[in-house]
Amino acid sequence: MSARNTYVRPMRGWYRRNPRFMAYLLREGTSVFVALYALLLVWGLTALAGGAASYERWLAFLASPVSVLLHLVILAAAVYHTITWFQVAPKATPPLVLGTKSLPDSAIIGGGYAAAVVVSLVILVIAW
Amino acid sequence: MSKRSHEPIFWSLFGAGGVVAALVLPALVLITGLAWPLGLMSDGALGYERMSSVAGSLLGGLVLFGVIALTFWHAAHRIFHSLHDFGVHRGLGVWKMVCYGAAFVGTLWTAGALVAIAI
Repeated sequence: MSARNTYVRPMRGWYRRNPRFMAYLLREGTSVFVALYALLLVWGLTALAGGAASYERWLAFLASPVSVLLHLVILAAAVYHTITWFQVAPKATPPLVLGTKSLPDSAIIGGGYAAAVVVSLVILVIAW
Repeated sequence: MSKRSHEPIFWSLFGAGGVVAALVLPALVLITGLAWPLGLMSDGALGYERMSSVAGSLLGGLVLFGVIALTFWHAAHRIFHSLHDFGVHRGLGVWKMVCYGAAFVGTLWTAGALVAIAI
């Protein structure tokens, strides 16, 4: 057996080679903060199940500076997720043919943004 | 017969979670992170009474379950597939168990908390 010594391209710092790589990394990276927020919500539900006193402690955490700062980072990640999610949606959507033309990418992206705005407003109105 | 891939199941959960997260998370984060702590919302908007009845109702509970559980599956799928970008190429079977297992635990935890609120 001869040991082959093939060249392996070094990948260290690959995301710094092209701004698109960084954008990709940020897009995929939103998942960490999205997961963190889901954990925060489950913690809230668990506190709610534990009664008024434990729920008040969760609310008190929400009011802490640490939580507000954390939420600012999560908010940036969540908005970036929303934008990028609908940007790539045309690539994942089966082509919708209307008459002889397929639905343009901009319509799918715009529809996604519009849906996000409407759903956000509905949530905010209900919650307020 | 060739062994069929499990990937479509995980991709579907990832896709559904991605849509749900894209639609609802910015507003939810705005509420729990800024609007409520800064006192911009009405008194009791996130109070114990109101949240108990919302999370304890069938509709509210199902919506919360869908949002949180699908968000877990979305994130788990993305994190698992990003391992490659950080040079993790070995032991992917174990990592898959860790990522999707965490989403599974998160799903059960969410369901358990909601059931505890409802009863």
